[in-house]
Amino acid sequence: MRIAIVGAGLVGQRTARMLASSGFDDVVLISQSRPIEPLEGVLVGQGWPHPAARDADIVVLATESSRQPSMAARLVKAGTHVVSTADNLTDVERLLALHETAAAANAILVVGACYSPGLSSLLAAHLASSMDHVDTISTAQFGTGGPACARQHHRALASEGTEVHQAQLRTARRGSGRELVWFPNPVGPADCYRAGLADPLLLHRAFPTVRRIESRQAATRRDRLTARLPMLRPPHEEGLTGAVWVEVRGLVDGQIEHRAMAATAPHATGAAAMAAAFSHELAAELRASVVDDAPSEPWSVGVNSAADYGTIVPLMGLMSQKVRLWTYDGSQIDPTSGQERKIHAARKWGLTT
Amino acid sequence: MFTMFRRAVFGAAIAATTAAILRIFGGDGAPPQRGGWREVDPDDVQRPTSD
Repeated sequence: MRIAIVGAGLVGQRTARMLASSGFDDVVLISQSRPIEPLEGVLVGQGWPHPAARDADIVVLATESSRQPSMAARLVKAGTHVVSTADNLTDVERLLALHETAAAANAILVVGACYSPGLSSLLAAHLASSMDHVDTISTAQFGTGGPACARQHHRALASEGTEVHQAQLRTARRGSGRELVWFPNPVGPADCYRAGLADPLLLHRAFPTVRRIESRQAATRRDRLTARLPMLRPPHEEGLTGAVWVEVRGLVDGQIEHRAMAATAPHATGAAAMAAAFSHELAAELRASVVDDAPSEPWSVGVNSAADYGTIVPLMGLMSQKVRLWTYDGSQIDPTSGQERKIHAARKWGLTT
Repeated sequence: MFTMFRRAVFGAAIAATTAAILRIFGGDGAPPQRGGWREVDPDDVQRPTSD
C-alpha cells in the first residue's frame, strides 16, 4: 500500500519517518519546491501534481494550510483517500464542503489531523466518551511548529473565530475572553484568547447538542499588539514544546464533573503523530474493506475528523508513543470546612440536565 | 479637577471592595492544593479517564 506525503516541511518529514518506521514499505515524500534530503525507507519526489500522489492509496497533505483544499478536491474527485493537516479555519470550512464530492467518489477525507485541531479534538472526544451528558467543551493551545505554523498562529490572532453558544455556532471576537490556562510542565501557565481556530467547528459537527464549545490560543502582549501587522521578523525554524489543553464539563451518574486532559510535544511532532496515526488506521481499514468494498465503522465515505472518529482508543495508543498525554487530578481545601474536596468548577456554568 | 479626583477615588474604592469580597468569599478560584497534572501511560489510554 502506497502512502504519499505532500509537503516536506517538519510535519511532512516526521510523518514520513513515523510511517516508514512503523512498517509501511512504500512511503513517498513529495516536496512542492524545496529539495529534500534522502530519508531512510522513504522515496522522495519533487513537484505538484506528482505521479506518485496520483497512484497512492492514501495522500497525507502536509503543505501550507491554504493549499490543501484545492489539492484535496483534486485528489478526492479521483477517488484517492486524503488525510489533511490544515489548521486554518477558512481552509477547514472549505475542506468540510468537500464532503459530497468525496462521498460521490467513494473517498475518505480526514480533516483536522493536526495538533489543534486534531489532537485537541481527539482528547475532547475521549473525555466526552466517559460522560453521560456533555455540557461544555473548552480547548486551548500553546506554541507553534515550523514557519508555516507560526504564520498561521499570527493570522489566527487577527481573525474572527467561531464558538458554540446555546448549541449554535456564532462568531467569536478575536483577542477577547482572556483565560489563564495551566498547561502541564514544561509549558506551565499562559494567558489564552479567542482566535480564528477550527476546533469549535469540528467539535460542533461531532457534538451538535453540546451547549458551549470554545477554543483559545496562547498569546503574549506583543503577539496581540502586532497581530494585525505583517510578521515583524521571520519565524523560527521550529518552536519549543507546544501543548494542547482540553476541559469537558458534564454529568456522570447525575453528578456534575469537569475533566481535563492535555498533551505536550513539539507542534510538528504532535501533528505528524496525528497524521501518521490516521494514515495507519485508514490503511488498516482499506486492507479490511477490500473484501467488503465499503468502509466499516467508525469510517464513512466523505469527511471524517478526530472529533467524530468513534473508536479513538487505537489512535491515542498509536499517537501517545510520540506525544506525552496528561490527565488532571485537582483537589483543593474547602475554606469553610477545611476539608479536601475535588474542584467542581462546572457548577458555575448553570449546567442543564 | 476635584470631581475627577473624587471619581477616581470612588472607582478605586469599589474595585478594592470587590477584590476583598472575592478574596474572602471566593473558593473555586483557588489553585489546587494537591494533585495536578499526571502523565498518562499508553496503557491507561485504553479506558476512559475516571476520577
